[in-house]
Amino acid sequence: MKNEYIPYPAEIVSIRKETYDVKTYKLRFSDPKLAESFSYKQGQFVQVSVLGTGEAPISITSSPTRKGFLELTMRATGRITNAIYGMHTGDTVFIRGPYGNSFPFKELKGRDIAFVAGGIGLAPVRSLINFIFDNRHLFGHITILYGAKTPKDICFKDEIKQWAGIRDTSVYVTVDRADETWRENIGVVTSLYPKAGLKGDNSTAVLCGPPVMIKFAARELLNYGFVSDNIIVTLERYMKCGIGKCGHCNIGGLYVCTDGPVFTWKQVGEFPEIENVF
Amino acid sequence: MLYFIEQTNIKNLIIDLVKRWNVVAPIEQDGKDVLLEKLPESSEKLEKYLGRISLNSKTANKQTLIPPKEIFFPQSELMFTYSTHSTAKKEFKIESPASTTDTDTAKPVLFFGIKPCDYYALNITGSFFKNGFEDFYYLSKSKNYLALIFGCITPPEPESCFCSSAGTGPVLSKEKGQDFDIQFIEENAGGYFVETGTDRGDEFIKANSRYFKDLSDRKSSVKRLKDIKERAFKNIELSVDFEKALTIMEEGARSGDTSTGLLNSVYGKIADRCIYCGSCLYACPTCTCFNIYDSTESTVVASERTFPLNGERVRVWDACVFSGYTREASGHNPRGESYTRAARRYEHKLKYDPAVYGRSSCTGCGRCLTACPVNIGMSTFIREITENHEK
Repeated sequence: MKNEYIPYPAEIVSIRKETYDVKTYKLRFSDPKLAESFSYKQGQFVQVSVLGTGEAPISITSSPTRKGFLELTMRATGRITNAIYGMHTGDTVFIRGPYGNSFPFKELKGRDIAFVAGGIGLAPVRSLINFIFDNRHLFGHITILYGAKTPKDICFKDEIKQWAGIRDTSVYVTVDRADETWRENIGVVTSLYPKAGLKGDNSTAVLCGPPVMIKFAARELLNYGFVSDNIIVTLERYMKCGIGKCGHCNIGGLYVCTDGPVFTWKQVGEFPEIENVF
Repeated sequence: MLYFIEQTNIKNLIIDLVKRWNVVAPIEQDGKDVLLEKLPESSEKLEKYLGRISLNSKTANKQTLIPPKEIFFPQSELMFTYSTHSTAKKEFKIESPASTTDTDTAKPVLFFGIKPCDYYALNITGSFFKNGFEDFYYLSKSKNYLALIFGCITPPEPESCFCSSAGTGPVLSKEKGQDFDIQFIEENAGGYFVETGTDRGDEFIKANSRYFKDLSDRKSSVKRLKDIKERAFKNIELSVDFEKALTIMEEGARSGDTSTGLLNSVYGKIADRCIYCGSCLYACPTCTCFNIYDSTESTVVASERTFPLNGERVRVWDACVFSGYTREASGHNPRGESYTRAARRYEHKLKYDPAVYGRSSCTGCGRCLTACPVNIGMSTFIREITENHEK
């Protein structure tokens, strides 16, 4: 029987500073065999350990189409993410996983896809965005709507510019509070909907961001003709085990770690009302 | 099959069993509490335990303070040890202790004297830890365990035991579709009827045949056992409408139903009285929530990690009624409101587990009520909702 709780060493091979408190870490398992065999799907997460500090669930932001490494984007928020924030290239963290379901491939294939992301919520959906761009012919029009608090909070700045240059792709960025350099949209992410010309037919929306953003962004999509089956969200909950045992992430009879983190808005609507998910 | 064992043979049977099994039995402590303990193999040490063993009999029938889950899922459990010289140098070691250093696990666990409700509880926690990802620690400790059930002729905690309402006791019967390997039922102070329900149970008797007398063909014994069992049910003092509670909880899942308002008002009342100590959940034989943390030799602040670093990753029981249970690093807390945590505790047992597993995960053992400092228990909750439900 495999002991699923044992993490494996992975080396930080490079670090990219995204914002003043967010970094993207490129990791490779120290065991060459594991580095080769480790596979995951877009939308899954791993449990990251800093020995002596603890463990936290972090979404994989790289696309499974790009093999041999793993990218995690973290904001220095809690104990673990702060400890990792202070690490350097060549340092080692410990990883187990991948866990959770994933963004559905079959249901998304052939459709137009509208991404709605807020802040560091772009990280989990970036895995799917790059998966789609690596299989560009299998999908329709791609719209990426991204909102951040201020221009200084925008993650993946260079990549967002690259995405905008890909055929059949529209990218819109907005900030809640602008500075003197900002020339683009100001307002919450839903203020981009009219500009982007979102339409529900043949479109699926994929959302990730802070709970309050997900709630309003998903509800507003319904006004643009999206049905709740075609709105996909990826959720975050406090987790300890990642494998449906510790109980922390449960919502009703579901576990966000194993039944999610990807749910349709329809499923979210069926969550027990007593749970204050958003 | 039906057998009989003389009271005087119980001790000798245990002395034999400790050689082949990792025998766990209810042992009375100095303060009169009863706890499950692993019995030592050496006869000298074992003698001290045998005098304090608390089997279900008229003279000594007590519930174990801590439920049997602790044998396979201890309150605090070492997951692995780690040692590292620095995060940059590739010198770290992770070692898992289970099944490698604990030689006791080579012998399967034998519960000698477990109550029917707790036998059900072990089935529930066992299937939970096996479902989906297998839990290495629980499953390696519980491999091939056998439970010798001792039925309750009188309830050990008359004010809180409600097993007959939950359908898990006080005694089990094959005729009711209840599965068990072996069940002991006290006949009189002189001995126990022993029923086997499976081949595994029969094999156990065969392996220890010199202590058991075969009564399978004796009609009078079968009749006498039936009478004793009936009396056991009559001795249960606390009864609640468990089925009605399950229906109300299921209805409460649909918003707008009449049950929703009732449930929310009961959760509110409980939330006002509950002091969120978590005792009910630690005492619950089917609660399996845990926290995981790293325990190092020196206190480590994230920003000032010192090396070398040696420590242990540990898991400990946790409880969903604690406010920090769902609090995320961002500060967002899906169950920050106290009544939502009160709701979670009851809905998990009476609504979600029935929906997912097809059975409730409350066994009616009553430990939550016994443990509660403000007198709230599963039975009081069930009475509150069933007696105030209008339909």
